[in-house]
Amino acid sequence: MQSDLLELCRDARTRIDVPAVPLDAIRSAAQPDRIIPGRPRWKIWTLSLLSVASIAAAAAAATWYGTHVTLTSGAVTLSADRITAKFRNASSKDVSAAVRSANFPVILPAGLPNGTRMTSVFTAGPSAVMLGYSLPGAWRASRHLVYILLANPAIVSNSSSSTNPAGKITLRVPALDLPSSRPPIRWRVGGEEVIVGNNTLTPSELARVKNAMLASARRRR
Amino acid sequence: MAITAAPEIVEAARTGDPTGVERLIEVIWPDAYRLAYAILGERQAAEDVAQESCVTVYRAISSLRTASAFRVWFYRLVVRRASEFKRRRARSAPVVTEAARDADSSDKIDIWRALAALPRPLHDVVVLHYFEGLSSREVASILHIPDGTVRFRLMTARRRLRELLTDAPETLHADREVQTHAI
Repeated sequence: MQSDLLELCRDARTRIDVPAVPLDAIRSAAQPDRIIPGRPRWKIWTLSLLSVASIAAAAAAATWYGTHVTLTSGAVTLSADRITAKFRNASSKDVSAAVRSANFPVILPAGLPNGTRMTSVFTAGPSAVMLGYSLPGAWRASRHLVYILLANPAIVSNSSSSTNPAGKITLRVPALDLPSSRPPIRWRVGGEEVIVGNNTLTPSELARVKNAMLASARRRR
Repeated sequence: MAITAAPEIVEAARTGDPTGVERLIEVIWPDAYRLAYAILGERQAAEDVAQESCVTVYRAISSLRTASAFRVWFYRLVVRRASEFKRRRARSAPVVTEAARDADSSDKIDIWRALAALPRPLHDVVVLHYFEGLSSREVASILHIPDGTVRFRLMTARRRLRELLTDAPETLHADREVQTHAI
């Protein structure tokens, strides 16, 4: 039995078709700005945003002072005077409105897995737009939400010195938080800074998104 | 049979030279994919797991103290990534693996279907021992369990596979439930 089983298993192993090595995707994912971050915390993020949205609604007459995104120790902090949010069933109309009001050339996320559904749109003034997506695949279970922050590079920094001036709403964005030792997943595409939260996207999926967005930027030029 | 990167290739990669690392990844990719596929039974999942493992190799190979440690380190890496994937998948509805689904549908049960019917502790030792050709001591080191436990699981798995490979397909599910509770 043992030798039969050995033969059977060896034979089965050699009959596995191996796809070509995706060296470009591996190389790209291994760059220092790529990480495999910690658990998604979308519930906390949603609750946080709900409370912020309430504050923002209460202070509807607030004057616009600008937005700032700060990346420190794996945390992403969004500092803004006004945040608008569409939490569920966001439509292309909501995205178009956010893109129209942006003060930077918005390249929308592309190359997400087939069956991905957009769920939410957040805008923090004209300088930052965050899109929430529900990814397909039952294997992802509760890790099916991904948030992609698109921002004007001018408002993104690694220093917290310029954030939280008086009168601003400062929000730590749990959905984009990462383990403290790791930098956020971010890249530049055209005049836009892209920041991706949580590890619901696999490295290969992330690489596809990045490549599709870069291709989209090239087509636009 | 097992991951077969030549020591000089591992050593070249360990020095941090990107060309050396990429050469190593090209060499180990088929083995990583086959191992991931044997554990998960799904092509896309296997590709993702193999890719994630290779990304870790790319980043962390220079931290390896000696080239001889690479083999066990890499096996641990792939097995751990595959286990994480399985855990995530287990939270959703159970799925029939592609390997089991694509298997020979004749009366005789295919090895993939028999493998899919094994409980996870037995499944992993069978893959590492029979598919990858590792000794029970190496399997023990990779899975962080005693050598005796590996040998016991292999003995149990052999008995189960003998039954499964000679049984009719209809008996698979019932057998699996009984075995799951017994382990």
